[in-house]
Amino acid sequence: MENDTEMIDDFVTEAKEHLDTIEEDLLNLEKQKDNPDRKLVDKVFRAIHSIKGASGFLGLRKIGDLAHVMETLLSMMRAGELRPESEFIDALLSGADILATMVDDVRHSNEVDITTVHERLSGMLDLSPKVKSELNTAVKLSCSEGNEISFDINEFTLKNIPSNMSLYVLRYDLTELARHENKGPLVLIRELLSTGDIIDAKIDVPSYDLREGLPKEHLLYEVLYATILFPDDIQEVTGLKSDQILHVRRDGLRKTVPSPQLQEPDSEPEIPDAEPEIPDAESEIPDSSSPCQEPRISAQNYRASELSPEIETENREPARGKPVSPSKSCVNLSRTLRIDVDVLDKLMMLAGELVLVRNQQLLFAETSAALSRSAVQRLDIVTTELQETIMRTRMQPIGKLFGKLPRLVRDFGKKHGKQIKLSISGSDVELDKTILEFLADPLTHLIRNCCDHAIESPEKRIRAKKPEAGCISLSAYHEAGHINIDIRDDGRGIDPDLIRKKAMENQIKTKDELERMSNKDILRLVLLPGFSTTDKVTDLSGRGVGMDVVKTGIDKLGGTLDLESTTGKGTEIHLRLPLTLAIIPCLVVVEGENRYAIPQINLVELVCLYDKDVTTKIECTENQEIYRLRDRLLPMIRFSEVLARPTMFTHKAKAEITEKYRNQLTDNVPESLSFAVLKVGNLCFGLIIDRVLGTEEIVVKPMHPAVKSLSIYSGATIMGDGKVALILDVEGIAAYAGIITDNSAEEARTNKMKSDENLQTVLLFKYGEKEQFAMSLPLIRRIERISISDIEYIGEKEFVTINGISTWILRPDKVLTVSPGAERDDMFLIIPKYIRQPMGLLASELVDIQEASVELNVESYMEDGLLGTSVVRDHMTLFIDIYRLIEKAEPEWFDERRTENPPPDAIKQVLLVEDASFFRQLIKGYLKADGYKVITAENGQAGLDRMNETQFDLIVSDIEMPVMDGWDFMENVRKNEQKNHIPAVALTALDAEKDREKAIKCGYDRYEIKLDRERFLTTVAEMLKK
Amino acid sequence: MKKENIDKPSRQFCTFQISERLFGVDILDVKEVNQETDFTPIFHAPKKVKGYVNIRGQIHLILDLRLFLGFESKKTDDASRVILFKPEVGDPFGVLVDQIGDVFEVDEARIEERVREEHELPEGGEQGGALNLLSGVCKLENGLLVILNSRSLLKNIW
Repeated sequence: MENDTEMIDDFVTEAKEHLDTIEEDLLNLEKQKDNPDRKLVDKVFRAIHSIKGASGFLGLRKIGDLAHVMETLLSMMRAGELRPESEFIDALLSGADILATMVDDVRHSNEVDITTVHERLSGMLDLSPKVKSELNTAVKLSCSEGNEISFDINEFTLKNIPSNMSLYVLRYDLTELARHENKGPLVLIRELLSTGDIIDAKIDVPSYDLREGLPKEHLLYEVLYATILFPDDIQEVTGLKSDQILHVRRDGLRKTVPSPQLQEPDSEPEIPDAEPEIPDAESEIPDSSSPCQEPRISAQNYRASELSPEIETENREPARGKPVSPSKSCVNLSRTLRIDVDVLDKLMMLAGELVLVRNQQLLFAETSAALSRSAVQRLDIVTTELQETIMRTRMQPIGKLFGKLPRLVRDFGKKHGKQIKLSISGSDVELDKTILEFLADPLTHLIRNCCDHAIESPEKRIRAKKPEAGCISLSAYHEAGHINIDIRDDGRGIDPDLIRKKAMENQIKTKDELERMSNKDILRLVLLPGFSTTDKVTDLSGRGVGMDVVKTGIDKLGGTLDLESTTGKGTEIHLRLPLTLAIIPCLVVVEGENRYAIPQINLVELVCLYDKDVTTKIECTENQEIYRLRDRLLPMIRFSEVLARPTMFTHKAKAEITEKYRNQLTDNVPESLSFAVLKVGNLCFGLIIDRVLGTEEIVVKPMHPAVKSLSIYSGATIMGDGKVALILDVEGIAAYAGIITDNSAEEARTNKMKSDENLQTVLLFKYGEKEQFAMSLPLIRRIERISISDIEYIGEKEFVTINGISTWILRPDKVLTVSPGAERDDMFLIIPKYIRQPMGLLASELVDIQEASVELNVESYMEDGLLGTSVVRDHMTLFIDIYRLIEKAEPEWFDERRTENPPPDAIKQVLLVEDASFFRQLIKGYLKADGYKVITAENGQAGLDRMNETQFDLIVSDIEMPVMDGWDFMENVRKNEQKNHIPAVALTALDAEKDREKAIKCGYDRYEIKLDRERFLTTVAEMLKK
Repeated sequence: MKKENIDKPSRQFCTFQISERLFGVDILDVKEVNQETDFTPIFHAPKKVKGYVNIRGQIHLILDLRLFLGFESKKTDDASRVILFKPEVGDPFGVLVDQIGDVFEVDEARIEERVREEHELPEGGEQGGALNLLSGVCKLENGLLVILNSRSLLKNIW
């Protein structure tokens, strides 16, 4: 016996299934206004009808009421009395919405106010007076023997019973049914509906609420049933005794009933009415509000023939024309089962483990006897199938999600006077349930955005010579181990200039930053929090949530979001979502001593070169090895180099690699060279590996969180022999090796900066009204916007909290004789690099970032803490020595170094060889501040000249210099016997292990990075102590 | 028996040797000790990460404890073991030690907790890493047992 919860749960599940499809069907109906598909109308009708029927059983009054009025409207459509005009569809859609809401919270559904929708729907029924009159005309029914039957039906309903159906009254004892056949009322209704229509039904205990479960005593349930079955069949199908079936005469009820084919009923066996008088019971749905005066019914009005395929979604076999036997349909129903996702997850995990065991067994089997080998092969087959099946349990078609969108688009279009077409493809692409659920919100938001922001009003579109109706296309497909979703529209596109403007207004970026950004980067700004380009806030997509929410949502799934847009032409949004699916086919390769797995979905082909081809077929551009594969140029990546280099490839690293292999000696060349052609999005490249092992199905395990940040791996797996192998992230490798070109422009810029000797990128800023300051950009970690009101005071010192860290504020006027700070609340804090203590230099205004010549003038004006002055943008500009400034303000910060490694007491003379005057100035300043005497030289040659003139205690030299570089310079120094004892420090921007080694080989004692003042000075002090 | 326990609260430590010094971690944190030392190296990972190892179908990240404690890395040998920690300590991981020792039961009173000194940086810094790891010392009859906090290992690999 079913209890309350089970029955209601069943109802809710079923109702939801119906409601899910109704929306789409209604929208389709609207499209076929003139010639509605009869089957579709039937389908919607039946869906609503079954909701109505079941709600009656459960005392869900409001749901029943609403469903009833919707059903009536639909029945008129079915009869051809109404055409599916937009207004009707609108009303039905809103009805379905409320139904869905009520079903969601079924226990409180009776408290929902449905009057508005109800009135709207019932108002529509008034449109047809003829129907109304038919509805009001009751028809008396009688059974074959002429006895009257207690059911009352109206003419309209009767007319709509197809003429080839016969009417019966079926009498069930629900208690018996439940006890002996374990069949609940819902199951019974479903069974009946699979072979015919329930016109009306009643229960003889009116006051009894079935939600409490079934009573112990007999409970008579009478059904007025229309079916094409013959009475014999009915008996067989329903399992009722003949005395429980009454045949109702259809002919002669009313002369008006058209019944051309209705000849057979009379020949049917007569069934005596052996039951006691049926009390004229009320059905349990109070139906007083029904506008159409249809007799009170909790009835089912179903058609048999096309029923099963649509009602039971799992049963795709159409049973048209041939009634499905109830017993079979009952089996069908129990074929769906709700399972806790946790159980599925666990199953999935176990299947994963089983695959591992299988792989180990396979390895084993290769050497074992034939008998066990065949067993292992069977294990292999079964495991594979098991694994696939279990995976399928979690997969759901994305159509489930896409299906909700047409309605959204339609409603939006109607409301805002836009014409929008939505085309959907790839609905059958299957996604993991979890991803699907997570995806719902971001996707809905994106579509709303399209409707709201992208698609223009029809007038504007016509003016822009575009079709009046905007078009949004949504497509889903599998690619590269990911699920891709493209959302394209032909709307106005995103105007980069508008974004620039907006970004400036909202002070997200400075003008200068924006100018240096590519259009693609600009587009990405809309993904930042708080960015919205429409000025109006609409109720749909402007409620303070923007693309950033979408971005976060997608990020959470481990996916990516890309934007492309052409102003005036449209926008394309590309979502890539990972497969959380745990098992993927991979190519297993060997590099060094280890195996790696490359997801097969990234693999295009494998190429092997032999003999001479190894050296001749791989060509070089300036810093990239390429291979000509048929008519395509493939950039090549050497996986061994990727593994060996712990930092992302710079241009320099790439040049080194190219150089290394170009000059490879012929006797050192391997006999063959294998590479895999891999694909990421549109990009193809070759990955050179030692050896290819083969393909294997592997179980993906995520990377350990502690090493998750490594971009070249996407996971790990256990191989057949029990060893762990890493799974490569092909996209990550491409980015690591610098062949994804996003960052190349920026890199080129920084490289240029480094090579342009006398130009430095500086930040120009102001503090007081008068002076303009400059600070070298490479010395700046970042700039924070702060508010003066947030400053806290400890004694004289000022602090502000940035990212949870109390940061000390240094005001330039405290340490330099400059004008006091501008009076404003909104200030900037310039946070320098290479300072361990959290601190920043206060600035009132950021003027610009620009390349400035740093031939610094130290004569016009000089003060401790400045490097000098220069004229930038027609203004005299003070170049700040930030470390000196800090030292002036907080000398104790540097005490530790001074005490640990005090500069030598005697004055030491240092030779500084540096070509860039800016650095020369800067480093000279550092050294002088510590009490050294410094003599400078512009290049190695000049350095050697100085050494001939005077004695030095220490040499500090740059590496990259014109005329004579640091390598040659030092080699020359070390050749001279008198001078080869002088300690030397190489000071450079290059930080590569190789350079370090080379420097030591050339004769440098130490190797330091420019700009890290503290470290540098420590080194200097240490070396002079020796 | 039970009463005794209450009177003298004590803790048990799983001890091991590194460079012939005795260290220990709380036994309640330890899942198992395993002699699987066939690691799969993870290039680009910090040096302190020894690699991945498969222990009965579960992949564990193995850290080289020697490097945490300021010793040079050394080749694994027959005595080398990995100590694997329970899930509540962190995502599956373990440490490589030179040699496994006994389980010591120590009165809580005999453990000297390390007091965090004020000038220490909250985290980061090479020094900070090693210091965060030490949770206390305990004098034994024939030496010193340094107690490590296994929970701070993963935080200090970078």
